[in-house]
Amino acid sequence: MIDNLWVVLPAGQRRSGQWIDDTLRKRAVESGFLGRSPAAGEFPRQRVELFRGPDAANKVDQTFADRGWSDGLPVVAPTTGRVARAVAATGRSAGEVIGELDPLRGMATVEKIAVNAVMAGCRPEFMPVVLAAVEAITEPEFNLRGIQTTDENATPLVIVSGPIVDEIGLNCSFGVLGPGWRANATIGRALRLVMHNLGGGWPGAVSFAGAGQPGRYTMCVAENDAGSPWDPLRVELGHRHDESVVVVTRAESAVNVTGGLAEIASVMGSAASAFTVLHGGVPAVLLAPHVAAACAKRGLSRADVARELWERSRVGTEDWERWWVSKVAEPAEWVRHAAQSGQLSVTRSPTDIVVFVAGGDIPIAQHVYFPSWGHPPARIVKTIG
Amino acid sequence: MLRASSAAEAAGIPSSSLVCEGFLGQAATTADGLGMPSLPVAPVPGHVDTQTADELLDNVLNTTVDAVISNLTSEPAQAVEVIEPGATDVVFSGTFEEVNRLFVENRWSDGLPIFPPSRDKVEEFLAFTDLDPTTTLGTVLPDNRAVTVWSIAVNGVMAGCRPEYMPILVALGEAMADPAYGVEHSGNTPGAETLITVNGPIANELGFNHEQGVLRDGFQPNTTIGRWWRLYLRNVAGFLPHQTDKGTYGNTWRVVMAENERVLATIGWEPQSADFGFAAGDDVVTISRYTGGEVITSVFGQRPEEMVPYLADGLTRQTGWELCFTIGVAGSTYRPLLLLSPILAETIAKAGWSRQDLKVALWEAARLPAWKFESYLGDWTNLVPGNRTLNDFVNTGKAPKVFGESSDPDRLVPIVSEPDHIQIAVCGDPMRTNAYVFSHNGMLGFPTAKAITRPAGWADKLATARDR
Repeated sequence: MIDNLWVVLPAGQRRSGQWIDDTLRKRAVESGFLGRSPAAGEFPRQRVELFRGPDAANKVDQTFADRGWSDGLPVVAPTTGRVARAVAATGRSAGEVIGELDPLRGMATVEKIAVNAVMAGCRPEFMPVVLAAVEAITEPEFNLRGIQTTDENATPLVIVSGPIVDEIGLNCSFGVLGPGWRANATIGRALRLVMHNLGGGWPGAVSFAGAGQPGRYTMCVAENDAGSPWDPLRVELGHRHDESVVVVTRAESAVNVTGGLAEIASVMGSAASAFTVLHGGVPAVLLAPHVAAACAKRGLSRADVARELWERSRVGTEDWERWWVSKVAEPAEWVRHAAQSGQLSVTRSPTDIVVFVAGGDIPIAQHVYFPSWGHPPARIVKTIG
Repeated sequence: MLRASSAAEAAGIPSSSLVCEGFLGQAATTADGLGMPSLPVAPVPGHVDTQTADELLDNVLNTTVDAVISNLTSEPAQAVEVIEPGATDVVFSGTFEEVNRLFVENRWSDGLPIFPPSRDKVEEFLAFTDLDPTTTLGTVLPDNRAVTVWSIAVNGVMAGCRPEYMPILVALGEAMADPAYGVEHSGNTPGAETLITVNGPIANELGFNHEQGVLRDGFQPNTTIGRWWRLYLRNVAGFLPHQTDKGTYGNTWRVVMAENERVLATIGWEPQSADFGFAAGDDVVTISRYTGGEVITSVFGQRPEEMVPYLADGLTRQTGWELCFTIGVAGSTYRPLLLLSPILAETIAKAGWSRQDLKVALWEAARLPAWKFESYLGDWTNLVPGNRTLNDFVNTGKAPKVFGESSDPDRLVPIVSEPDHIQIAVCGDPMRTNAYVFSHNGMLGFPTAKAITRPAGWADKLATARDR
């Protein structure tokens, strides 16, 4: 019976002992989305379940999918051994509660996070990054409830900065947004599965993002220290050089921009930033090493780059008033005030733009603009480990 | 604390429970068990006992006060029901090893192998009670589950009990659910453990050990019924270490104790159950929660007067912070237990002493200086805040006069309010001059006794079960 698998169940349980799946099944039935998870809520109410061979791994995959515990991709069976190794890699106790995840308030214990990380394909050494990211999204200003339930397509953007990038093989260079690197792919996916299984952000049932986005499968990038002419992001945010941190924002999407600061500003000053403007958000700009080097050569610091982008990405009041969001939503007070002057900045202040260097070092430079969604402004920094 | 808040909320009075940081998880689970998962809690950072007055003030002003205001001015959310498997559902089929692994992984076991509670095994147990399996004997916190005859039998099978122990298990279930006992306190930090006593002829019929090694594992009824108690606390009441069971150290469950009733009859002493209104010959279980215990070895003497000082010293030495159950936290609920080996009891009885005479003599001898008693309540523990002296308690009617006969801090005061609060039982190696003393957890596990009811046709059923 070597093929039998003892697996730890990934589903979220509230402090009261209730499983969030009971709520999810009701919501899925109500909204006609039970087809994705026909066996939602149908599982033994216990920590560990035995899947018998032959072919137990496939049974786990199929059963978890039927119960709704999947992002659609195959999952690794979270066996007791794999989960125990993942928990051990955190140096924390399995039962420690990192937070209760909105909107359905499943308890994110270290063990439950480990289960979802194993399912996502994380190696044990990725766990400290996953834990830091989960800590970040439980901060009130992250507004996880909003991210999980909104009809917008936002998702957490996880930026990792520090020595751990090299230690665990996070990609910060060519193809930083993927595909191809285990750590980037699975850390971002682990965070999504945690939000999905412990917070209950099931699409169609609880999450009403109109279109979703590929970044909802995974979106974890690393800062390219070697390719950056400036102090690393973590140092600018007040951490030591030898520390590793995650910086987490709410990203509406990931928009490619080829060229220099002018082109980036042009995209920033468009309707792509509508929600960023509305609430005064925290957008992020992934700057290619080549352009970062050129900026530094011009004598620009990272803050100067952010200011230049801030100044050049103004939105005309006329445009702003034509945009859908300005008609249907109540903008922040400072936005209304600025609109009276004829033009609006994309963020309240240049320091609200997160600029970091990543990607491959080629002359035809590609950058990524991550407009933000929702309020309050959120740039959450958590130390890893 | 949360129980008081839940009562207040139930009466429509807004509440806010102040809870130290380390207890927030326990508070949440306790609130769930009370059927009020949203019972408002105001966290106090850290632990108040280790903070200076300034630190505490800072913490309360910066964190606690806001929560209190919000708790008292907003409405808690409605209670919710947790869906669990049905009592008679088969949740698993597999080999002995697989069942055991499943039970350990899902925290339904104490870590030792359990006997798989299959339906046929449970039915064997149910044959030894006339009660319907769905009969509810009460509910137990923190999980607020019903104590049912069915779940008693299931945990009995798991613990390795024999079916014929069922009448004892049912009586224990009833005792656990008796509010007088206070099972809801079983997860408190001192981590005391329950001792079960069995009295009456049923003890011999079922083969309980009451003599040499009475507190030792190795005798099926003593061992497995003791284990059943802990499994039932885990699986039905819901006490899980690292969650609702906050015992700082804890210890293993105690095996069941039985008295040497033949010796008691010979010397004319009543059994322990007589303290609860039962007569010799009644089948009775008694539960009580003890914080610790120690053997009193080589009690020397031919007359009770020679033996009492040493026995009383044992009682005094085992009693420290527990004095808050004599005066302060829950006055007059401290019930230490002295076990006498038969030969000691016989020697004392030979001098014409009754059990009552011995209690009085021990009460008069088991004393400590008033300053030390006060230190246990105040200076050393702050269990009873306010720096009150024993005389303060006496003067405000909160302690008997015996604790305030002078203002001399070196005067000797008793460890319990009256002689009857010292419990005595007779068991252990009949020919050894040793005794044993248990310190007690007061109202947080108060002595509670229940009659054991034998099923119709007991003798036949017992004979059949033995031959099986």
